[in-house]
Amino acid sequence: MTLRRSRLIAGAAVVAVAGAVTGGAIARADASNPVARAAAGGVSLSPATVEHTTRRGDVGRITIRNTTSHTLRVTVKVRPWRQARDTGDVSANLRGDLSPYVAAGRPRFNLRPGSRRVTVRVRRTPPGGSLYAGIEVFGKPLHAKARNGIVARYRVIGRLRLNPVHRRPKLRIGKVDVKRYKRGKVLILAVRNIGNTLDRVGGSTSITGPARRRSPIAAMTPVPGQVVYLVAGGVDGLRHGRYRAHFTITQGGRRHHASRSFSL
Amino acid sequence: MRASRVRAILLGATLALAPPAAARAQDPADGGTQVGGSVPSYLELILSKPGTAFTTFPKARIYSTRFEAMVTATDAPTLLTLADGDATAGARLGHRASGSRRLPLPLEASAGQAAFRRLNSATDPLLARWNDAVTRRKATVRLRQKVRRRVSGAYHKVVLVTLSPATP
Repeated sequence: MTLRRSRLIAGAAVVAVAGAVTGGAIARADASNPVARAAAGGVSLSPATVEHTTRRGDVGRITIRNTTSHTLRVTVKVRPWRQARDTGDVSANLRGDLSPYVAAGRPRFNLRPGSRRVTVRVRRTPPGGSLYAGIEVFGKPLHAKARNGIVARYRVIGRLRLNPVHRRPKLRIGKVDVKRYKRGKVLILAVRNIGNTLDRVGGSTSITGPARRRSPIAAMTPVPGQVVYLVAGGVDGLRHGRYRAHFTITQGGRRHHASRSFSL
Repeated sequence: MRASRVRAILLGATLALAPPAAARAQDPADGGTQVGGSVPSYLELILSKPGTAFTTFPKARIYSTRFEAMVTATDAPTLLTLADGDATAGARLGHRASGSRRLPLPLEASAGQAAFRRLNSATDPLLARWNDAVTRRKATVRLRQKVRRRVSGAYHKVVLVTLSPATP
């Protein structure tokens, strides 16, 4: 009887250990899954946004990680943004280089599988007292051979926001136009950010003429120096004729008024 | 004996069903204590190797290959674009080359079910856009090369896969 009891307890213990091991294995499988999928390898950047008040010297550090099995030739450059006027989307302007103002402490290095921290350093105060740009991290595998005719290279772009010590939100309101977007004909207003802040620009429109219409303006974030087209509502269904649009534009707590005429 | 046997079975079953201590979920603490944290913003781009042979073009037909891009981004929206890594302008832009020779038609790219876009355009073809934070989100990048007549030689192309935020 003692023997049978001990066998039962031993069996129960085996089942228990098996359960524990299975549970552990499941937990490990969940945890290791991303690692297994990452076997293809890549490049990561953290933090993806470096934000600081403008001052000379070090303003932040980024960590660049190489998860490929090759050594990468990494180049870090600060590029100005190029902004699409209709969507407001930004992309790094690869023909521009802001290295006279801000640069990586070590702009070029070989990175074995692993990570490296790079300092972002302001060399000279940018004009206007602020700078909004992309931190381009370009990874080129050393000794990479074309695999099936294609050589892939990595480019990961982070954000650099050097906010001004003295904020000066300012806008230049440009021409009005009617453009055809996917959703139909819309009234657009061109605005240029001539200040030094990265404030959202929005507001409302009131159209008067053969017909009347009020509509809000979808907010966009123009980069200092760039022009965006604010969409001041649809004009489909309005009768033909001469109209006057009254705009109320807000930017960083400031309000601007403008009137423009247009024809349909 | 029967009672002890039942006890032993119950003990075994309890131990077997009990998850490991590390995997056991803890009850949320109440009483006003907020548990939270922050993580630094993060961008990651992982690329797989192209799958099929895409070097020689012995017949007049459309050749294609694909590779996977996996993206992690904490700051939305995020854009995935593809550009020519060999040339930024001129006749070579977007065209595959073998030494001084180049294919007459440019390489085309798309992601998912989107239409193919030529790599010789002034703006880099947008492959994908994510409006939320994503973790290891996969995008299948398809490359297509149209060939009108047989060409000899092995043709290569450096492609630059870019992951960038859409907002400044």
